[in-house]
Amino acid sequence: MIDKIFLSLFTPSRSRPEDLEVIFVQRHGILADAVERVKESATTGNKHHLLFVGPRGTGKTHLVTLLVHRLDKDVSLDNKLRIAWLNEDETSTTLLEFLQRIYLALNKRHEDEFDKKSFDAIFDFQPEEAKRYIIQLLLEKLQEYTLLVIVENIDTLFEELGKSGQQDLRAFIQENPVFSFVSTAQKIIDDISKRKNTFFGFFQTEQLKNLSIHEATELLRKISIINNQQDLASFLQSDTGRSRILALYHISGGNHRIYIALSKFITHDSINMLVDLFAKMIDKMTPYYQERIRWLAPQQRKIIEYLCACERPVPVKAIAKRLFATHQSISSQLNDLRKKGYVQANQRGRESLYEIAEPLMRICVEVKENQTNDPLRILIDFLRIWYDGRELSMRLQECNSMSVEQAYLKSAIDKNLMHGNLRVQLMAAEFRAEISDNQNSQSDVRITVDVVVEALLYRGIAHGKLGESEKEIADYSVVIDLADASADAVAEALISRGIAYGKLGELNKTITDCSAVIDLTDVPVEAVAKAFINRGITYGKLGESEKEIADYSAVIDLADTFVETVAEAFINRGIAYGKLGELNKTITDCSVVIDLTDVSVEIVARALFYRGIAYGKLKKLKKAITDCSVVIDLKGASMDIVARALFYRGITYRKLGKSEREITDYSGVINLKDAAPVEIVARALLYRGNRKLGESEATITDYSAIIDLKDAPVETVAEARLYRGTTYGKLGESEKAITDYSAVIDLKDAAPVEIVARALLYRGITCGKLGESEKIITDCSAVIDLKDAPVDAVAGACLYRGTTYGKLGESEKAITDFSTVIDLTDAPVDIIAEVFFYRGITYRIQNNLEKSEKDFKAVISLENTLIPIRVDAYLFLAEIYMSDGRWDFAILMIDNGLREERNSHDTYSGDSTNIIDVFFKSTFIPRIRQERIRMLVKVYEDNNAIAQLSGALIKHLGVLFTSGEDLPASDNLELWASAWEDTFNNIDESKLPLRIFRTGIDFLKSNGKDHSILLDLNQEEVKILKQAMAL
Amino acid sequence: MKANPGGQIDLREVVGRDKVIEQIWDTLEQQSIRINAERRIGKTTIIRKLCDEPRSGWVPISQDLEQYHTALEFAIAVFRQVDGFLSLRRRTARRTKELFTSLGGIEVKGVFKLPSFLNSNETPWKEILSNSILDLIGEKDKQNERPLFLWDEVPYMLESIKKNEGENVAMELLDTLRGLRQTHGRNGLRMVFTGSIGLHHVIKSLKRQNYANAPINDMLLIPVLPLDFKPAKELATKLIQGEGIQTSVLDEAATVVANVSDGFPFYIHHIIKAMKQSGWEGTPDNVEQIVLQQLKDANDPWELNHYRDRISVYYGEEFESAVLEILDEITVSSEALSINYLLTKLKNAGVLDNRDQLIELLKILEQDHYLTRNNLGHYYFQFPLLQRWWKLSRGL
Repeated sequence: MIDKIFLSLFTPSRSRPEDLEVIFVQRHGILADAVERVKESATTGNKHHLLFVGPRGTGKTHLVTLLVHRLDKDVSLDNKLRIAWLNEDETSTTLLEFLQRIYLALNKRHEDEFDKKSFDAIFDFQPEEAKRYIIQLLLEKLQEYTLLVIVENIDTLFEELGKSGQQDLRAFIQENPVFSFVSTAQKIIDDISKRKNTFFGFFQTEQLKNLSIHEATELLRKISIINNQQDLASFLQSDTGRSRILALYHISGGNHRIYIALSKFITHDSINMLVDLFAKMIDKMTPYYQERIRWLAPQQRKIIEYLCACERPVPVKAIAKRLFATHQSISSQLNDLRKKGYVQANQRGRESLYEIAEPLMRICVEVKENQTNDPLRILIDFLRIWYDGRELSMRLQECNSMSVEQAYLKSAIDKNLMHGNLRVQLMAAEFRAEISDNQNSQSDVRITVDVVVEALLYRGIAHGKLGESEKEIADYSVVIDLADASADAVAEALISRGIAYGKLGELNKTITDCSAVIDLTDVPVEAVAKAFINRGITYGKLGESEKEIADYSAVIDLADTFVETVAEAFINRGIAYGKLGELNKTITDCSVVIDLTDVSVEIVARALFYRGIAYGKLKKLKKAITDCSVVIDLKGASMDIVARALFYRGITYRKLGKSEREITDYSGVINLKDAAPVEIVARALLYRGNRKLGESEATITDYSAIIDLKDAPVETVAEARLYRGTTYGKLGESEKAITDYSAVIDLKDAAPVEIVARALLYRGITCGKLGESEKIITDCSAVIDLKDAPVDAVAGACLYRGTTYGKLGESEKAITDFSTVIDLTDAPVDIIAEVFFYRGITYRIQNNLEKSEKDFKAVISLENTLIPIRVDAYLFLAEIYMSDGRWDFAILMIDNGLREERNSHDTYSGDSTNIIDVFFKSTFIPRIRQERIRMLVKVYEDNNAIAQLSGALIKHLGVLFTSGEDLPASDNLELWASAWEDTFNNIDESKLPLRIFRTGIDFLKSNGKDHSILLDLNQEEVKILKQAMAL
Repeated sequence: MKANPGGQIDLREVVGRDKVIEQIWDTLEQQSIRINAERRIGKTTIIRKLCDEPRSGWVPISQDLEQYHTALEFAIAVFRQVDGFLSLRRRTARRTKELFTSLGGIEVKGVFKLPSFLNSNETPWKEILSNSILDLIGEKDKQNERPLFLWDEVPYMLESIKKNEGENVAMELLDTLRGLRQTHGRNGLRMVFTGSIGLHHVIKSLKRQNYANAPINDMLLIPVLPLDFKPAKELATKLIQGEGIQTSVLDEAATVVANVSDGFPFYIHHIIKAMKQSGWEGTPDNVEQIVLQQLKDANDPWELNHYRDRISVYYGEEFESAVLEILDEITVSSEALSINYLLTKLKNAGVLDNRDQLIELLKILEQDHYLTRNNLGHYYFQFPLLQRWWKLSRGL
């Protein structure tokens, strides 16, 4: 897994710092602090000296590399700081040699400033003079810079320098306070920690800890991310991933370097592959460990070799006995080995037990001793953690007999049988360590299995509350697998795990866990009842109502169950019956609970509530209201159930048409605020908002409250935004409306598709009103393409897109959209009427009168269509008939249209301008004109629509004036005016329009040039005429 | 300003040392000085302040002597300082250079090359030292300036010389320096010796070798004490703020830090650094918690074990039990204890029955900063922090 980027195992400074940054774990605080301290050293007279202590492989060089990287990147330090990062493999036994290393390190990074030539002159001097020379040279070159000296393994340097060298160095630093040191060491050495020694207290020491299991996981996760292995990152979160991390952790002892080396194994399932990889890894790591052991003093080496051979932690006296040494000398050596990170101590009473800190170190001794190709203990243990018991047996069956793999698997199974399941032991130990860490150090509580189990169960619950289901499940699983956990605890863990699986949607696993509890012997009846109830709930979710009801019935039949549990079973069974439509059974079951005397108020309240709902569904609304009212007044009932009852009663009042009470109930829910479930409060606000239509401000307030409500369900928020958007739209606040619609649209899949579709449609329409045709087409197209969008939204989108295309002159596209709606099944009738209407107009524009006539007739034939559409359809039909000479039909259509107009409550008036225009052009013969004018005036007069006719007459003058064609001849105009005057003069209502009409005619006769003609009219009349003629 | 236990402090940030520095300058008008204080109490910072901000008329020359391991190295180092100093004023260490020339040293193009003393058994360190100081005095007289040698870590150098060249050379060096002070004191020559090992212990060990002189009794002992409460609190406040530690009770937290640290700047820095590392809020309770952790830490980050371990070295195995008994008794007592009371206790314990020896031990315990006396002459721990640790570590 680490092949994709280069991460040097042994020399992190050779890896790219950017990569090292990405995989950096655990020490962010330490690094940031070090950077700050070096910065302060560079910018003030305070000079900090830092020392990072940790065994090999704990990431010291990684840390230092990042420190240098961050300092390099900080441009504010360019003129303040120089860094000498010393090569750790060089030796200096005197201050002179040490200063040479510093200069050469500076030369490597800043060749121009610290030139080689000046340095080479040093060799012309005797040592003492040379020292003085190089000190002077360094100080001269440094000028105002602070020098950061990085010394890795400063313990080695101090050893090389000896006491007098150290004294020289310290005096040099004291006399020249321009240095800041960042150093590393494998352990705290006396040179630094003992007060009598030269460098006592000189460094700010930071002990670097090994990785915890969580940090190790984080490290692997980051490596997987930098390698772009998302699948691996998810795998690490799984149960299997977790146990494998544990296996690696156990083998590596939390040492960073070893952990990275081992991480290659993480995704390997195959036993063959594992054994092979392990063998290769051992080959690679053995020299490293051998070198580490060789590095030790003989006595310490012997201790390590002995501990490597031991299976368990051993007391000091056993080691002393074995090595023929005194207790005191072994104890002091062990103390030193512990500081170096080779061993770790565990306390048992007053005794300290020691073991190898990194189990992998055993491979050295084992490989050396193992001449017979017997399975390696370390790999056996590794497999015991890698696979759970079931997997080990399964893989053994799949193995070839006599194979190496078989030998390993068999050994692992045997060892588990003999010593217990190592995987489970480690998981429990890990947890035990965690709770031990968390305990007050003064506390003397013995951590028994019961304590561990209890803590695991609590932690599981806590993980669950934090939504960390994987971790929750893992904790319960440890309890379930613990051999010495009690049956009660196992049952509790199984039930809890089942519920946790349920939250993840893994319902079959829930059923398996609950069934396991039901099948367990020696568990309390209450646990069995709980398992039945949870299994029942799960069956319910799977739609298996019969099994669900059977499980609840089983609880009801169980002897010695708590009455509350039985009551819960009754209520749940009642609800299940309800889902099957057997509402009377719901009422019966809930009534049983309501009549129980020794159950809690809450249980009774729930039973009442669900019975109320059942009554509601059976249309027994008053009983529903009664039950809900009892819940609302029930002392001691939770606000949760009270809120639900209030809300449901509000809905029921609505059905009874009692709006005021309805709104009062919604307000009741809303006033409960945090005490009520947020989803109910949100719905109540929404419903109240919807019920206050006409009170825009109040409506907006309610919708806004939902939007601001923390944790409100996203679908309710989406609805609130949609409705608020439409309210804003009605108030003409288009921008606010668009913002709300856009917010809904941005929710995408999180919001219900019908809400998103409407938001798109309304946004499109609002944009259309602002003249942004492109946006309406985009939004409507989005609705049309939206999967599962409701048919009315799609129909609306086609209608609006079609009309937009129409306005843009793209008639064919418009007709296609309108036809789409007509072909849709279940499209709302008002939209169908509109599309027929607009398609009719489009055909009319295309001069396809036949299709146009058909569509307008279709509009008229539809029932329950809007009056304006119908009126206009009649007028269009009249126009068509008039244009092809079917004068009588035209008059009939006008008559029908005007009648509908007159009979409706609508204030709509159709526009007859086109009719006048067609009439004007249809004939020039004065007699016929006069005759037809009489007919027209009559039909308009009969329908009380003279105003509409005279208005059309004036508007028609505008049509003539603005058509762009030549104006009609003066005699034509004069004849037209006289014909109308003859008829209109007899009608009082038309006298005023007639005067305006006459002035307009005279104006047109002057070719539209003599504006003085308009002075015949008063100001108001001029205004009307000018408006009509677009003057 | 960030906590910086062990590092060098920006002189502008030093707090609470003005009084002792004034006292030093006032004393130097009359005589030389020795400063004895525990390690990491801030001696070197005081030396740096004396050097960088001298009182008018004084010309300090500062050297850290732990880097010199023989008397000759020391003498040459003094010569170099003097020569370097004079050359800045276009003068030269004439007498010393003449001496070197007579011994085979040469000057080439203004650079003086010292003769090699590698093969000689008896090096002329005394002459070099004396001539260097004479050169300095001579020139200073002309300039109307007073020379001041600020020598840090004198006991370390003496230990090294004793080890490398024998007790005699160490004794001679002390005597030579005293001689120079006596001869040139009236010409304004002054020395300041500082050291973390008490000079009295070095001289005591030399006395065992029949050294009868009192080479430093002309130098006034000025103790460097921990900071007074006010500056200690000021330092704590600065560091809490500098580290950006969250606190809503800055004043209270700084007060507790100043109190529990006994005003030791080193511990104040440590406490604040530990507080920063813990990520805890700066509250009085958390300060207490951190101090307790440090005192109980098996790794002994403040190396307080030193106060126990050095007893056999400083007081000899002969008196180890008596010293432990004295300290144990005083630790558990709620009030200061009289000499008579302590003598009774020591007699009962069977560890000491000689009153004079007890008085001598108490005197040294006082010099070594374990104990101090009240107006009645009764003894109690000088530093409550040390008493607290003693109690914890001794299981009392």
